[in-house]
Amino acid sequence: MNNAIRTENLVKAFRRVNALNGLNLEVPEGAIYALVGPNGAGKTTAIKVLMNIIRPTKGRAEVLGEESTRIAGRHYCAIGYVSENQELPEWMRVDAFLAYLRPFYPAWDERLENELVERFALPLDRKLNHLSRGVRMKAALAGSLAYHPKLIALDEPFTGLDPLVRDELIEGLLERATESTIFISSHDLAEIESFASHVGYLEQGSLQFSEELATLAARFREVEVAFDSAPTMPEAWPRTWMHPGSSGAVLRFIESRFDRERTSSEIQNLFAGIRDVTFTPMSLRSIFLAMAKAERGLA
Amino acid sequence: MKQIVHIFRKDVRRHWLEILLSLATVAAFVWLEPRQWLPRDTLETRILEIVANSVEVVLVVSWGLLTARVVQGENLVGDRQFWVTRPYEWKKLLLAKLLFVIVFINAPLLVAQEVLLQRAGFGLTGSATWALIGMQIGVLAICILPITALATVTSGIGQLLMALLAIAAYIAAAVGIASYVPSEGFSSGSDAVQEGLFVGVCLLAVIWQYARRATTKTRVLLGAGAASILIVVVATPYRTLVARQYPPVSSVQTPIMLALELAKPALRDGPPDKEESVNIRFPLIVSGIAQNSLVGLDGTMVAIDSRDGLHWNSGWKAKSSLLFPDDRRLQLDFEMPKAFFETVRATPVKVSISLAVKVFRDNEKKRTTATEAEFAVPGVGQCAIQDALSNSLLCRFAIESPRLVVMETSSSEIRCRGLEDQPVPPGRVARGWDGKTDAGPISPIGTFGLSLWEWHDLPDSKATPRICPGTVLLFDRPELVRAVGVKVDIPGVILADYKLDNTLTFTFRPTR
Repeated sequence: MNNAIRTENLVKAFRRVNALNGLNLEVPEGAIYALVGPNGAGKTTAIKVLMNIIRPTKGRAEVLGEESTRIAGRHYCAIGYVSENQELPEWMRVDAFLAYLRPFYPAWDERLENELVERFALPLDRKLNHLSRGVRMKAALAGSLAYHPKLIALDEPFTGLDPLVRDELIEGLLERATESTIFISSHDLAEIESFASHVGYLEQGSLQFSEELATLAARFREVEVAFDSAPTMPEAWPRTWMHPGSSGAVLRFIESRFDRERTSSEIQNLFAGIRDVTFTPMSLRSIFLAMAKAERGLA
Repeated sequence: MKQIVHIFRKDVRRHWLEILLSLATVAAFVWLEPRQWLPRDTLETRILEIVANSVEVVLVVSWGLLTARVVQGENLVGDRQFWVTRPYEWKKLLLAKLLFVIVFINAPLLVAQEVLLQRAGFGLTGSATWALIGMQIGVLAICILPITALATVTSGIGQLLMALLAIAAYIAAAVGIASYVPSEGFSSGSDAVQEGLFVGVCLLAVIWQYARRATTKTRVLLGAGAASILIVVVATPYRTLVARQYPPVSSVQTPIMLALELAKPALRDGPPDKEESVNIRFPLIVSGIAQNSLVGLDGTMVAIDSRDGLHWNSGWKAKSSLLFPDDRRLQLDFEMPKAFFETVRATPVKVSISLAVKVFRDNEKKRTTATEAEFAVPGVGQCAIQDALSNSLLCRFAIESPRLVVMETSSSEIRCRGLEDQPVPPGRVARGWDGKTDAGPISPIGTFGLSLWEWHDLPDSKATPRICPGTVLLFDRPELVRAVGVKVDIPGVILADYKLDNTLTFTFRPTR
């Protein structure tokens, strides 16, 4: 499968601070890729470099087969970019905004534009600066979807939106998922868990992992081991166990490479007097919290 | 082209108010500019002249505002603008802005200039049309390009105003530094380099910023350009350039001869000397100006050497004076450091006076009779008497200046009423002259005054030459023959004999 986005050792430094620190990223075509991470992890910087809004300090990036630093003009006909911080032409009415964008895109689909206007209930006769944040975001999204872009890049699009608007945006987005690759950054795991196909976790400018969401959910488990009496702790824990801790006769940890047979066998090898073992699937949020804690050495 | 027009139409919708304001200012300019051509003989005409001058300033400000707003409509500073990730092509965006400027600044100005030419009584010839188009390029280069360069590296009008303040501070500093550079005020030898740098850097900055949106680098480029201009100002070898522009001639070929008058100048009452300088006046005797020739003094330089080896040089100072074959005297006033003066004041010193002069040859004089209404002077323009019993004419010309104009009249030709108590012997001559640069780039009409100050050979007479309807005037547009440097060494001068008490400026005035 081809990659819609690929980066190699991407570095972006602002003075002495590296916002991106050797980012290696691959986003397959057709994926709904969520780039997650805490505030200041480098998500927005990564998207801006990919969109050629800013230039990388080192390394390279390819977007839809084009070197990111060469993306300009007509290349944007295949890219739809929406950001929470984007400055729109606030003086324009919604209809004028869409009408202004139309001639820039040979593939602009007026029928789709009308559908999006209807779906997002956009007030065409109102100026953008008179709209709420959510409606403005919907107008921006409509203006970025109506030309069937191959890549839709969204930077924290749902921040500060009420759940209803957020769901409307997600639904509108998912309708385009069949024809586009969607690359979305977010620090809110719950909002992307329902629709992302791939997820990458960015921490301090480096990608900690990147994989399909289904695989990720399958390999993480909360493990609880009940003993007859308080167990003796081993000198060294298996590398895939995260945050092990005991409370009386109960040991809890997170298995990051879950395989029922292998994990059970490791438990049996390390402990005696096991009464019961339970494996509980984890939410994306719990997985990332565990990851973040491990990264920060808080385990 | 489609994208250019599309962006242009959006800008028109966005900035219609600024466009209207700018067009209204152009209309006001067309209405008020002719007031500057009227004789300034009443309070009303003087006020209207000030208002007309102010409108020209407002016009430039309105263009600046319009240009800045339209450039910053697609802001090039920052990374949050929606348009940077849309299929804009930078060349087309830049051309759309240029189209906007041409349509709403240059085109209205061109129409206004044509209307002014008609109102000023000058026809629109083919060469005038080309000259007006040249003025549009001048407006683009002088007014629009710098503001565009600033608008591309600032995020809003507030930041732009801050940048303008910084530029004002830079100009003040540059002028201050330049005042310490000898001969800088006279020589225009590096002006073309400075202007080329200015326009080149601004143009490069605009193109670079549109192509790359590299704001920091573009700001550095503009700063480096400003620094380079300052370096050129300081490092230009002005004396060498003056020597090239006014090549020295031998005493045989000199168009003018000078000698120091032995009589001491009369000291004038007035304020005391400045703290650090004194004023000196050398009365000079002039001779050797060929008949049918004129000598224009463009600049002077005074060097003083004492027997003790002390040396002082004034550097070249710009002057504007014209000497006729029958002129016999002139005064050379200059300022020198008090410390040097006090050191050498009573000892004989060698004074070297260098003159940068242009030699003109008389052309055929055109005879014109002044009338109450405006009257045409062939080769000069439209002229009018400033007011009743005036000694001045106010003339206007279209686009190209007549350069040097000499006006002359004879006491036999003046029959103004009310001068019976100021009899002047017949055959006396009075002259006035002026030289102007071309008009533009905003108004295609230039004006200049011609005044008859005194009767030749009657310098102390209270009778002042007058121009009134019926006065016969002779107009000459002398032809430039050559520019030369003349140097005169005068040994054994006691400076204290020539010190003045109240001359505050460095002037060079012919006396007769």
